[in-house]
Amino acid sequence: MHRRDLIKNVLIVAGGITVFSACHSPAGKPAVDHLPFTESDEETLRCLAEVIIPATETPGATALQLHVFAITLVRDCYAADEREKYLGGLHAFDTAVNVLYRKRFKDCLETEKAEVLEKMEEDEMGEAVGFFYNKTKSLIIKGYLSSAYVMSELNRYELVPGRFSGYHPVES
Amino acid sequence: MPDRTNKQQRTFDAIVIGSGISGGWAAKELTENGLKTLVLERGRDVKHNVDYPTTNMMPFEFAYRGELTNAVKEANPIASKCYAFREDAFHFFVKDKEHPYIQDKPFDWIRGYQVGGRSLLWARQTQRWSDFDFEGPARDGFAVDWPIRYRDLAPWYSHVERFAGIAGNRDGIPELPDGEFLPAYPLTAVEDYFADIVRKKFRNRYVISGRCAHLSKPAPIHFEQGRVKCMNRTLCQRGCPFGGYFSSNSTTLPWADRTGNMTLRPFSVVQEILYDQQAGRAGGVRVADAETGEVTDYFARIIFVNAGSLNTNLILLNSKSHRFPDGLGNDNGLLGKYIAFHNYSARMYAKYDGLKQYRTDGRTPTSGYIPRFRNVYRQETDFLRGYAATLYAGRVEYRDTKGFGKPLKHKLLKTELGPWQLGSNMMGETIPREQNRVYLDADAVDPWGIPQLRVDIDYDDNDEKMREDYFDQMAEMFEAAGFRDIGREKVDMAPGLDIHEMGGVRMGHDPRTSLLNQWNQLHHCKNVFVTDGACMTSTSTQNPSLTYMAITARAANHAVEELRRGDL
Repeated sequence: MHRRDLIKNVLIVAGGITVFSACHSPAGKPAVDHLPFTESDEETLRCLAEVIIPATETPGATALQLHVFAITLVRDCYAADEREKYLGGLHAFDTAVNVLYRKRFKDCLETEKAEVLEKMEEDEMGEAVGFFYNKTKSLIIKGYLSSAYVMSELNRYELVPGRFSGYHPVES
Repeated sequence: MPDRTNKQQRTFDAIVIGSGISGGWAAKELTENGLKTLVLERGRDVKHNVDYPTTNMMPFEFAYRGELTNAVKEANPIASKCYAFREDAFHFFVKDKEHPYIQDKPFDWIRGYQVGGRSLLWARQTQRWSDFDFEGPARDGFAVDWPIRYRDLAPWYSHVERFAGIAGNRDGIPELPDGEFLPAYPLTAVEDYFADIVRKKFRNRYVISGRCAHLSKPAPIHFEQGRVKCMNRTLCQRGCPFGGYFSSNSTTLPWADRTGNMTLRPFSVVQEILYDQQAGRAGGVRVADAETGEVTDYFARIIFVNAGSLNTNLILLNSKSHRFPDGLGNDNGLLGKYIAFHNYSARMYAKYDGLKQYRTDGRTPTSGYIPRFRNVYRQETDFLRGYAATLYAGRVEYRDTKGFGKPLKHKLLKTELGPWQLGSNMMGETIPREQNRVYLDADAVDPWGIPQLRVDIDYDDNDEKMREDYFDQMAEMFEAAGFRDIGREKVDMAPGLDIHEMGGVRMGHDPRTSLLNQWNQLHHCKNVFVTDGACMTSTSTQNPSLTYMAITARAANHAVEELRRGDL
């Protein structure tokens, strides 16, 4: 069989500026049947996702339920050993934050959260946390870019293009 | 359903086993010629459009965004190797545990048990064979001589192309004959550039727009089928709401149904073909209901076996009688032997820094295609035969994911265009060998009481040498075009994952060395026709489905003629 599998690469370049965003705890039960994640894990992930993709003039991670997407994929799609490694990383993250600030990530000040994210961006928090952060970030980004909101409002996905050109002019 | 106690109601003019790409064609041709035809399909019914549950889903409507759960992957180590076995289409694949088989050597048997079979899932590439292919075994001394030549099949290629709808250019290449084409899909700027370099710098080498079974510009016959223009979705594996590509479901089966002559019976697992010793011919088939296990016999004057290459072998091997103790038509012991496939175990990559004023827009259902150029006019290498290759080029989009927060959110919506990236897949001919075979296990049976198939198929030295030549020749062509970062990838894949398994019931002149004659009739049981991949004497390099369609239409019309003459 033939496949036109153009590779979508991701290029990492310099950047990244601290941003301050709220992490309000929503009322009610967790949105997913979250085992093996605890409610506390889910809250940590929700807050972390909101720092990665905050609400601005457009919806952020909490509004788009990106942490639920991340949990769903880790829970259902990861192999058992990878899932264990992820959960281990999540708990290492909790511990590391507690050592730094004597509180949980969700209770950190926005400046503290940003500080932690900066450290993880620079891979300064050890291997377990680094694994957890990189996986989480890529899941949150994937969830964001493939969310109904982004695919409908910001970056429209064409289900039915009805056309093809191999000579489309590049706008400069 | 007819009353099964009444034999008359279980008697038809023709029985077709299988509703996939070749079975659909048998059904169409036979019913159009007025034959009351029973089409047996082991899987469930899949009605065009009605049974394509994911076809109009947006990416975000899939819980896993296209991925499979770990449970599905772990339960299906074989099926999940197929690139199309993903969240949007895995319901059209056989799950590993549903139909066990035994691998003497690794063989990934990818199957689709439903009405339409794998015609829902195929890659839709449709290149004709030429006499360089049909004359291969005789010229190069392997397998046996094909009992047909291009001139025998050419009118039937035209017949099926007009009906199916094939997009392509009239390229004027003797190795890859032109057909009845709808307008071709355009290549990309770099695919065209590469085609130009290859034409100028290499003799008898071409890069063309891959001919494909898509309605680029439907003809009246296609509208009559209820199909409209392909809308470039490239979500074909879900089933196409436009009927933009050819499948049994969208095309041949509805057409056959409209004649009023077709009885389609899903959930019908054929255990064996029943040989009528007195009449000296096959009398019918024995069917186990896939859900209840209830066994029923059906009868007909002719039987078309289109169960899919290996399952066709399985049915014939299991059709044992006093006359044929080793399987129907198997006097020479060659049934199940000389299985071959396509060697897909190599890919190449490159980048190109030119033509940056262009990018692609929209999506295309095909790509560039490089017809076989090795050992065509004469033997050039220390391996037999050769390979075709795909060739595709597009701009890669990069996304800066550094950082977090508002700046990241802003950056994510922008992409930067990288250089053109090229890819190519090898499609190598493999040489049918007697030791590459399938046979019945002595003990293990499947859930329907049928012996399990043992598969004993492997690559050989010829395949290894061919792969090295593909790497070298493609690299030379890439270098001539000024491409950089040329990469060679050996793909670790077992036979079978090419999904082009062929042979085991090969055609030939001589009943001592082949199973089928020039009309796809079993030499020793003339009212049984085998016209799926099992009939293939050799594999050549082209994606085989178009050839199965043409062979089927030809054989079906011959069967009708013989019936009319009273010869069957």
